[in-house]
Amino acid sequence: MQPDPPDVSGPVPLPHPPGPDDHSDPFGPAGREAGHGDGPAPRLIEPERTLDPRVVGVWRITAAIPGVPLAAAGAYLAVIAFLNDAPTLVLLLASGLVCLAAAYVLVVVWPRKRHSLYRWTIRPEGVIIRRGWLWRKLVIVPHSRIQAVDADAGPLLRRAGLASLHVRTASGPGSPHIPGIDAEEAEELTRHIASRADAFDAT
Amino acid sequence: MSDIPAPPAPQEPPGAAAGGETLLRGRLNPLAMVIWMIHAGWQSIALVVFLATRGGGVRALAGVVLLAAAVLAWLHWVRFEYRVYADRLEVDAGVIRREHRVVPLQRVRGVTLEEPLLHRLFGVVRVRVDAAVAGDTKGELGLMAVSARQAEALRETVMRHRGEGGPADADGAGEPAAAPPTAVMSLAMTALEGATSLRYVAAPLAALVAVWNVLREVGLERIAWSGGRAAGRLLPTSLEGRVLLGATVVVLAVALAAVAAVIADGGFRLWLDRRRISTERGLLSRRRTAVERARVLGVEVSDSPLRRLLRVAVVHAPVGGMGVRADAESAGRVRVLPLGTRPDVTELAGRILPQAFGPLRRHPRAALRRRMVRALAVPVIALGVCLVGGWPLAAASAAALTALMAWVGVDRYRNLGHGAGETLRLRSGSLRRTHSALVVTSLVATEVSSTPFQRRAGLCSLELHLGLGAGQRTVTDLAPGQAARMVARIHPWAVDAAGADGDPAA
Repeated sequence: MQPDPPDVSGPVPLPHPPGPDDHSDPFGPAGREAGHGDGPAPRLIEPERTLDPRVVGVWRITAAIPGVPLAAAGAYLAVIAFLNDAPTLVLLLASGLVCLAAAYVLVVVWPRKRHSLYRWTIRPEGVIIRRGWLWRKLVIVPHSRIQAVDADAGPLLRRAGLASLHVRTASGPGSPHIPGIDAEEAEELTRHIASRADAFDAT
Repeated sequence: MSDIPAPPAPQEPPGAAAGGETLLRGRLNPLAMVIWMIHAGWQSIALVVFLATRGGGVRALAGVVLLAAAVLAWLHWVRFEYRVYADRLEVDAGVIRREHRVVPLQRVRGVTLEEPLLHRLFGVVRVRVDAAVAGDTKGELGLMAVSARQAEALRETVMRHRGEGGPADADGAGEPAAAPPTAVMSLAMTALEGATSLRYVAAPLAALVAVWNVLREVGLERIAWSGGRAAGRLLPTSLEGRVLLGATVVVLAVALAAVAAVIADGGFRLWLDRRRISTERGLLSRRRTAVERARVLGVEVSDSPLRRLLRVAVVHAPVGGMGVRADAESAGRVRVLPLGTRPDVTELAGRILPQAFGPLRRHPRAALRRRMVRALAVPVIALGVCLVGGWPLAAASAAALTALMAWVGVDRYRNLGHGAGETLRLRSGSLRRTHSALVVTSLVATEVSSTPFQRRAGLCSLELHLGLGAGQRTVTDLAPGQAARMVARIHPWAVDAAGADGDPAA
């Protein structure tokens, strides 16, 4: 063991020597909510593009897989309740109606709502995507950090002439996707985004 | 061992073309054979010992097994070779399944030199080359045992050529171990690290729980119970006796934690230079880690209430593309200083990332309400239940817990803060509070999110995704305008130009 050198002192000079109004205490009190001369707060860009409306149909078909049996069960319960004057008539009727309502929301209401919540835009500098209803998220990804873009489509999306565009970055949660845009446009966009990302790579 | 054939010294090939000249070529130290036999072949050693005690003709069999193991070890040694070129590292290995691995030097995140106890006895070093990419589990490459000189030469050469793949950036200092360290940690500070670390202090308890679990697994918990009862009879019956015993146990646990920390982190040294951050630690087995500065995404200072009182803190650096196994408590972070006094810590952090600290913006008052609700919900309900149930003792402890959590809630709010300038700064937490400073350009993606509760309170959260296994950092409960200001600093294009507030970066 060599003799102990002094604590934290070395050849690299401090870039900013501490001055009188130095904020070097990491745990000092936080200042005001808005700083001096901040002016009005900027506003985040609202992505303007919506998903292709055809995606609503695709989502409805997907939702129908649990939705139709649910509705059938509800109708069956309601019919049973009417035909028999069982003591549990009200209960049967109520559960039947709940099933029908759930199926209606699942197949008719929610796909439309989901479509209206999704917004996206592709700017020269990056991609912005908004999604979510209760838990709302606005994801911002600059082109320079995009590793790969791909468009894929399952059989349903393909039949509707749509595709889903995936923006892949080095971070899982930071890799958003646009679930329903026109297949040709998706193709074009993948090429466009990839070339933008590449341009940043070169510089 | 220095008397084995040394590899050719690393040379600077003038304008070496990619794929060309071998900069470094070497084999494992012959002692690797012994280590291999001990590590991989300990079962066969047990078998040999077992056979040898049988005597007679069986003893010959023991000899055969030993010979086979030795031959296998020798084959492993003979077949292993590593070569460093200007742009890649190549390793040939394997006896039955031959392996030829090529790792582009650009993919190398770091080179770690380790000296486990066995290696120390033999005077050799284990080398790990970390070349992980996201989702790649086989991204690591190890040299079981080489001489210290070889290991240093390998690390030097790899790290020097890693950057642009050429000898252009060869301005760095020589072996980091030769330069005086930027920071060292005294043994007293290391002991304090253990004594104030819940992880270390709770370790004996965790061991006890583990033993108990094992006993229960094998169906021997009865032994543990009777043992516990026997120990229980030895317990003092008087109150003073029990208090004394409790105090002794606590003191013992703290002392043990201090010793454990000294063994793991003793003799900690840190080197900072233009290109990398290197650390060395450990009393019995030395561990060395080197991380390139280009991969350092920021710097983080954290403490706990106890460490706050003592005015000491720990420094981490979030690092991209770093596996869990380097010198990190968790993936994507490197410990730069296990513990230091506040002035030392702030100076060091400022040296790793200039302007790591700066003015922080307070969060809206609504954030305080949210902190309080979250901190107090459970203890207040518990207090209510205890009062209704008429359990005075439980109610008293619930009341104490409520008071404590009220302080935690207020403290969490006080510690909330964020700021954007040359760096992005965010601070949060109470029982473990952290001030993070991030390089603005290090972010892979930025996310503004809100839950229904946040929206009702007029708040939102900002998630900064570092990616590359370094995770994300969250600014909780800030006003939408504050979030927009942060975003304006990170992605000036993502805010409306009309509202932009004269930010030089906009």
